[in-house]
Amino acid sequence: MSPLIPHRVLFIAALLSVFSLNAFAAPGEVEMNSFAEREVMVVKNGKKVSELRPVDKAVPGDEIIYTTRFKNLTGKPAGRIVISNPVPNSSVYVANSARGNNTAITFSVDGGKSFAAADKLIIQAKEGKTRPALPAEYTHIRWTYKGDLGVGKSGEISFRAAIK
Amino acid sequence: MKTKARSSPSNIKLTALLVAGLMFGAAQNALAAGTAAGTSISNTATLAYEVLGVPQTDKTASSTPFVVDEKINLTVANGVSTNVVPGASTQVLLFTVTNNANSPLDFNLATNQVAAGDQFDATACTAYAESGATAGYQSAQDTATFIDELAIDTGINVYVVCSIPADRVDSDIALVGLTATARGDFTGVNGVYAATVGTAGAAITATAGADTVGTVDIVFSDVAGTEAGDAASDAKHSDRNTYSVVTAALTVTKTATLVCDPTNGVTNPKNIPGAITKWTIAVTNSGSADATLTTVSDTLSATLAHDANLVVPTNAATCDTAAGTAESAANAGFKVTSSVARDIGGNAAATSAFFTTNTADGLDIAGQVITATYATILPSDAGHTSNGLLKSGETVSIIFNTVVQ
Repeated sequence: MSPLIPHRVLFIAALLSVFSLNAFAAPGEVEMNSFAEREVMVVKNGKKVSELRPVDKAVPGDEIIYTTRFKNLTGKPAGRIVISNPVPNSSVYVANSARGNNTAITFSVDGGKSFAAADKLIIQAKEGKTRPALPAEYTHIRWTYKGDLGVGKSGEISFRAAIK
Repeated sequence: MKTKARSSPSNIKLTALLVAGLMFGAAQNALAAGTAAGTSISNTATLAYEVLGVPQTDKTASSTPFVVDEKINLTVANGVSTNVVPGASTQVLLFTVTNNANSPLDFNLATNQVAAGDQFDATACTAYAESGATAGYQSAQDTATFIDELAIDTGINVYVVCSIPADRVDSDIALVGLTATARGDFTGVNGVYAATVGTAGAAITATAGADTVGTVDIVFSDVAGTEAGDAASDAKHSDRNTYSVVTAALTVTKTATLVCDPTNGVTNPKNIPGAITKWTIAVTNSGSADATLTTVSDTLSATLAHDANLVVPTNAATCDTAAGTAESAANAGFKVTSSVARDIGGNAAATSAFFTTNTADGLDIAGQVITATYATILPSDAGHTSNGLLKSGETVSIIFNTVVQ
């Protein structure tokens, strides 16, 4: 992902300047921005490389990458940071796609009531039996930040969801 | 899917993973047509945090919503091939057209004659969509030449109706292609599909260039079909189906064998007055379809007389209609043989039977004209559903003698 960051930064700037949806947080808060992108193959210097671009044409089956960035503008260390994110409407979570440095990632299959790691999620099947949950059954994703987020520091979490 | 942290035996774990994989695959397939075009999708994340141990107000952030675009996709598939006879009209070839797009669509239908790989072209072809009133092609009901408002993930029967030229022979085939082209008006709110009930919508153009934010763009995602002019991503799909000519091919052979003469007996007989000749008129069906025989007529030369008793001469003295021994009985002047056991005249499951010369029984002579009426000679039986039927591969022969005058 790291080679893609310069482009993404440019994109964020563009997004913020064009749309006012993601207003800057007031000083003293944690600033958050969320955006939807697609991975596209482009030719750069004669090589095919993948790049993240704002969602353009999106049809069923396409994978969308949702990224949320957060920055501590409180002037003090921020602790116990928990980000929860429902899987977007008309979408299914793509297995093993959730990312987030220095976070523990858990999922919910019951609308956000309870969360567990991917390999601990259980679905109640017929006749009292249980089975492992499928990624397509996840309703929410939760990132629990480990430790404090230092003053002025930022973090980023992301996941992919396919349009149903 | 993670494979660690399982305490179950490895073989059980493997099974569980396999089942999970299969189920996930099934879930993927369920996305066939998918979310309706025009659906707005956005993502919202909520962040909770504390500062110096004091919980702060949750923060939320949402991505800019985008709308699901129109994915034009369709499948044309052929049904079973159709057997036809030469000269037949209103012969139906079955196809199905399935709307794999994420909105309802109309479809134009076009037929084409495939240039290579077959022996002939069907003529006067038109494609009709199933009306839904009565299943199967009904000429009075299935009159629409385009598909109107086909719902998402729905297939419909399309009937290509053609005529078959009269000059075709058994085993000839004609390949006919069907190309369906998606049509529709995208004039609804944010450019979503708008129904045009009763008429085919406008030609659809894929949205060129960048996405139009908040508006349904059109993406073609069909694959190429079998027919010329149908490429991938052109809002068309095509397939072809086969007319197979299946017809009876009848051959009639008439053979003569000189049996005897009154001087040489049965040894090297000559065609002198009094000589007896055995005639066989064989009808063979070498085609793939059954044939219903009607009549065969044979006019004897004026110099020949029919042997009323179908004698079997053994020497010069018995080379005579009266003096010879009848093969069956007096006045049983005709014999019919079949290549398969069947009802012949009144005889059940026979391979041969005799017919009289002097009574009307299906094989008769009037003057010099012998007439065989097959409906009477070959009645229907367990293996033959109608009178006079000669099935593929069967032969039926009529045998009689003549005497040189």
